[in-house]
Amino acid sequence: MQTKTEIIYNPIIQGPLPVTKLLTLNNGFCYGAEVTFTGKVRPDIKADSKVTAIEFEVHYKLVIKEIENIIAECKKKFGIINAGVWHSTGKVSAGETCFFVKVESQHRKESFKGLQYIVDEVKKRCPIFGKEILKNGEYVWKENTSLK
Amino acid sequence: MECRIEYYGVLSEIAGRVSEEICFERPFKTFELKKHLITLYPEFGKHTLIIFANQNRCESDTLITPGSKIDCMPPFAGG
Repeated sequence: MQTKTEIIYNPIIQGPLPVTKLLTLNNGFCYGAEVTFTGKVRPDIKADSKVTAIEFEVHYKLVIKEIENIIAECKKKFGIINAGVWHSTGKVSAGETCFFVKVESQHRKESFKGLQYIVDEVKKRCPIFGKEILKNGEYVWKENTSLK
Repeated sequence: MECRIEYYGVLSEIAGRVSEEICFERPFKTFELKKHLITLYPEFGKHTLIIFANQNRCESDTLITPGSKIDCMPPFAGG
C-alpha cells in the first residue's frame, strides 16, 4: 500500500524563488497531470522610470492561513490531488521569479482549472505588499488594482 | 478599551510606525475604526483600507471587541 509522504514546506521564501528546485520536489506519488505557474517581476515603466526590482512584505500568518484555505477549496471544487504555493518576501529583481504554483491531479482539466483558481485567489486574498524600485532611485507601491 | 493595531505596506510608511495601541471608549465597528484612522493619518484617506481583527477579515459593520489584535492593510500586491 502506498503511503502519503508529507512535504513540510515553507511557502514564504526570502528573495527570488529557486524554481528548478521547486519543480523537482517530489511527494512520492505519480499523478497523471502536473501544471505549474511561474510569476516573475516585470520590468514595467512607472513614473517614467523602469522597475528594476520589487521589495515584498508579507503578513506571514495570514498568508499561510489563506494558502491553506485556498488549496483546500481547490481540492473540493476541482478534485485536484495536491498543490503547492510559494511566494517571495524581500527583494526580487526584474526577470526573477517571485510566485510559483504547482498543481497535481489525475487528469489535465482539473489541474488547469485548479491552477487558475489558486493563482487568482492568492493574488486577491493573501496579504502581500510590494514596493516597486525604479531605476531612477525612486519607488512606487504596487497594488493589484484589477482584483480589489 | 485598548487594541493593538499593526500597519502594513504604504500605511506603515504614512503612519511612521508599524504598530501602536489605540483607545476607544466602547466596542467599535470597522467603519468607525477607519474613520478614526483617517482622522489620525489623513493620507490614509487616499487608500482602500483592509481591516483584519484576530486574523479574520472585517466587513464595514463588523464589531471589534476589546483586546482584539487589528491588522490594517492597503490592497494586496502579491503574484
